[in-house]
Amino acid sequence: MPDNQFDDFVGRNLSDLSASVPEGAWDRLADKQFDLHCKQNLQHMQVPVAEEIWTRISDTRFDQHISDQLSNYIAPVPAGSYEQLDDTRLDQFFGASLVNREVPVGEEQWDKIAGALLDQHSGKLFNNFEVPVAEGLWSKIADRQFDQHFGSNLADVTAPVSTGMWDKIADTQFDQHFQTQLGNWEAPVAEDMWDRVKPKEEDDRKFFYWMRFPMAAAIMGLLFLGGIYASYVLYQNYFRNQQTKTGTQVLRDSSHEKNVPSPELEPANAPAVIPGTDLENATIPPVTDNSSSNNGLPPQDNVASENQGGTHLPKAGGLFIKKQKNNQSILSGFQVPNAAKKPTGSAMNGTQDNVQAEDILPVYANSNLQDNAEGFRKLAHPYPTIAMERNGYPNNLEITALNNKQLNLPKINCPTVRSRNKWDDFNKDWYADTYISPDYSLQTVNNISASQQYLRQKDSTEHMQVGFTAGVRLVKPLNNHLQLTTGLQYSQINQKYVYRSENEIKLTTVVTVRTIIRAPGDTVVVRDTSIVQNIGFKNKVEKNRHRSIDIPILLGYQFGRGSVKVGVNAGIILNVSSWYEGVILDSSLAVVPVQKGSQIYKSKLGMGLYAGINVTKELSNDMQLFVEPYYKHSIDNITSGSMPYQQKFGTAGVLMGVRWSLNRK
Amino acid sequence: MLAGIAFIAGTSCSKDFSGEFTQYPNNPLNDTIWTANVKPTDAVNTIVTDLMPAFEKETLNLENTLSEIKVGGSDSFRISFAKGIFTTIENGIATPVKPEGTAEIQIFRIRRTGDLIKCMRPTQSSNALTESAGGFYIRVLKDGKELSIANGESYEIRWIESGADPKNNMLRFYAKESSPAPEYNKIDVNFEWILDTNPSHVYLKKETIGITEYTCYKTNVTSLRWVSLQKNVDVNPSPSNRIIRLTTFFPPNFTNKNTAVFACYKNQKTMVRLNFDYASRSFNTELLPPGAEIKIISISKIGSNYYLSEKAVSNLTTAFCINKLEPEKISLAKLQAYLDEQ
Repeated sequence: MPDNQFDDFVGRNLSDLSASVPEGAWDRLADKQFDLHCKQNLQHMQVPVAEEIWTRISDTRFDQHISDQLSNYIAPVPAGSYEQLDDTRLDQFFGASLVNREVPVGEEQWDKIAGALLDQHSGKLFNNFEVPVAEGLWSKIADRQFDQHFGSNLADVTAPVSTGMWDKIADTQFDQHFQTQLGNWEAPVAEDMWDRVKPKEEDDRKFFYWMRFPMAAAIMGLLFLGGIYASYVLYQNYFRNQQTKTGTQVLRDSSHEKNVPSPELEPANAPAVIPGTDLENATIPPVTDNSSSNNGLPPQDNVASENQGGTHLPKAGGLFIKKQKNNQSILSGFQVPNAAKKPTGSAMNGTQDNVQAEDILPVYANSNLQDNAEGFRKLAHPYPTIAMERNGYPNNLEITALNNKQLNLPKINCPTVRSRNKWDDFNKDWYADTYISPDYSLQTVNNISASQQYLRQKDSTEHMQVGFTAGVRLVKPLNNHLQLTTGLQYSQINQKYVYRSENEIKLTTVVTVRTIIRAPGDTVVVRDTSIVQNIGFKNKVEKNRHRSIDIPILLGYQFGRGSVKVGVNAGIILNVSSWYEGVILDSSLAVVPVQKGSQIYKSKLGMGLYAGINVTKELSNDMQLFVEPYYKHSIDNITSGSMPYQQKFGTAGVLMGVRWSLNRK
Repeated sequence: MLAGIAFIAGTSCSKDFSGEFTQYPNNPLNDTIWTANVKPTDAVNTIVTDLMPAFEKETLNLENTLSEIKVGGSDSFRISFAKGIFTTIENGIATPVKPEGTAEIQIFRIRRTGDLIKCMRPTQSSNALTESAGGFYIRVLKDGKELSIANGESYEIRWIESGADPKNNMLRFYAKESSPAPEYNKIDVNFEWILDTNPSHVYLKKETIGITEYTCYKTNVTSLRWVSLQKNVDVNPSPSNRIIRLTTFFPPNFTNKNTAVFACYKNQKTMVRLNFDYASRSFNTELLPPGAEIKIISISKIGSNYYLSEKAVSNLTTAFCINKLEPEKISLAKLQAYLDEQ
């Protein structure tokens, strides 16, 4: 069919779209002619696609269609386009479009790529690129392969450490990093490794080896010294607390008080026993008793301290360990065995059933002496060794010394008991708070486009009321003072909305009685139940409720001793969800209800600031009461952009709750 | 802490509540008090003003020997004025109007029962119920002055009654009005149809308009303003049957200050307005004859709101008929449309 005929045909017949095509016309139409015609006429034609059409086209069909149509299509690039295309745009395009595309590489393709080109290309693109390693992939790489790879590639690479980099790494970060990375690392040992290890005594070059890295040695040294110092300080704090607790219990125990001679009985001995007045350095002088010296024991540190004026422990007195069953408290002290057999009443020979020395050594209670001794050996090395090996009655001077010590003995700093476990316990403390708070909020309104009349009416109709906050949160102490807190809380801001509702119709059912005259002298009484309408106004009161679910993230600092502690908490409040129910003034000053989910108020309020003062009262080891007056301030407005004003809240309240220890002992 | 929880629960979880209703002191809806004497300013007397349509206006050439006015451009109502029939009356003295220039004619036609309700001019004459063939209110103004027909002069009217067959025994009625006469859209408590002194029946003339032949009323009338062709309603002359008392009452919100009640015949242009009975807070009439097929229509105006009620009463056979009406709110436009259909 010639073109002009086709055009005429289409012109004539498509003016009426419903016209049928004459029989055989399509057969006479060659494909090329049709394509050529469509190309000429429809090349620039744009047909609007109905919205629902796109929804009916599935992705796979669309992809398949495009793939079929355009797989071999090469679109000519207009002249100068490549010059206009900068690298970043090209990279961005390919990065977004081809990131997951895999194209098979031709067999000879790799050979054409020079190694330097590839390295240069990769070096530019992947310099800072981090690719997550699939799980199990590392395990497939043999050590030798890995070593060989890095050995060959990085043997001569020296990467300079940027200035100040080492300074930025805090010790704790460094330690933490290695601890987390290598804490459970087990490196396989080569078979001949042990043979290659030289005996320790022969490796005399280690010190000099460290001298080759003075900075690393200094850091390691500082870390080592810092660790020792930190352990010492922490242990001292902990130990002092323990001593204070235990000592109080012991001194108040009446059973001990009656057996302990009054210090006035031995006034002459007291100065001899405790010559020094310096409480920190005061020591009990060595007793001249033969059995008081080393007593055949191997020399130990504690013995040395004894000779330097340390505690002279009672002869044959083992460590007194007693468990008070009535209150389960832990007592500390020394016991003089056979004391009950010794005559009493003599000042010089007076024996003590119990000699408390809570500041001397912490001892865990046991039911009998033997167990005590065993337990002590395990727990309080090395002092028990001394105490347990001695026999016989205690020297009076020793007893007197201990008695005096009980009264006001100088503190003896015992060698550090391994505090590792205590430190771990301390760090692993977790607490859970459950709390509730009455809140009062103040709203701040910023006008955008609302009329003054609107704002006045809004102000006069809205009255803030007491709301509340309730929630749970997790408290993680970082040390004795710092603690992190987070959790989940529900807050409700209540607002009383008082407004005058005009033109209210009140319906009242009434019964009317009419006497109607039918005729002179003839009346009829008509009773009728009707509804009377009255119009007026109502002072309506509605409750507006702003509800939200938030996540507090707080950092706290707590100080104080004993059972009452005071602290401050500050941080941010992240809003998870927020919704509103109540009424609101519309632009015509009419009161309209606002249902949950409306677009008037935001559903997410972003972040708020929080500050509070925390007072904690310990009720038991596992439970504390706390009160926390606080103030939180919304940073974001609660109103959406469609409102003619912006509104936000500041809320003050008093959290009251219970803090539970999650590390029950 | 328990106290805190109790306090929060008490303050935060309380139910919503609303305040007491306070009635507007001067709102007419709250006024349920009847009055012994309805004042012209009461709402019921302002209904007519709201319901009445604007005049139809025509121009009359006073210089023509005979001027025929087709009101509304229609052949159904034609008025013919002869030259020099107008006078002006000032202080009781009539002065002939020179046949010069033009005059403005203002006309309101009473074509349906609804028009009678709109203008609240019931078809009553001397406590007798009449049936109307229609009527009109006509005013001729020249230089702002209202003209009258000179003594001994008349003008001719021809009209085709709508919705009913022409009757043979129609008579001419004019209105007795208050002095000064109120406007056509004001209530006139002294209004009453008065029979013309001409006792002859209105002539029925057959006329062909287009290809259709009509029978129209053709008569000469001697007065302007309210003019009607009426006849007395046929009633049973028996005195016992004469006493039909129709009584209606309403809910308390509808009083004689805001409500007008009409009894209209279903098949003829006869309308009677019910009088209020202050003692029984009801409306009644004794003008309806036995056997009448009527429809009770009430129109109330409370504040700016209109209320309408309708109740059909078929065949008034009993001597005593009490009906309760419960009006419902309606817009003015719908009310006017409703009346146009009556």
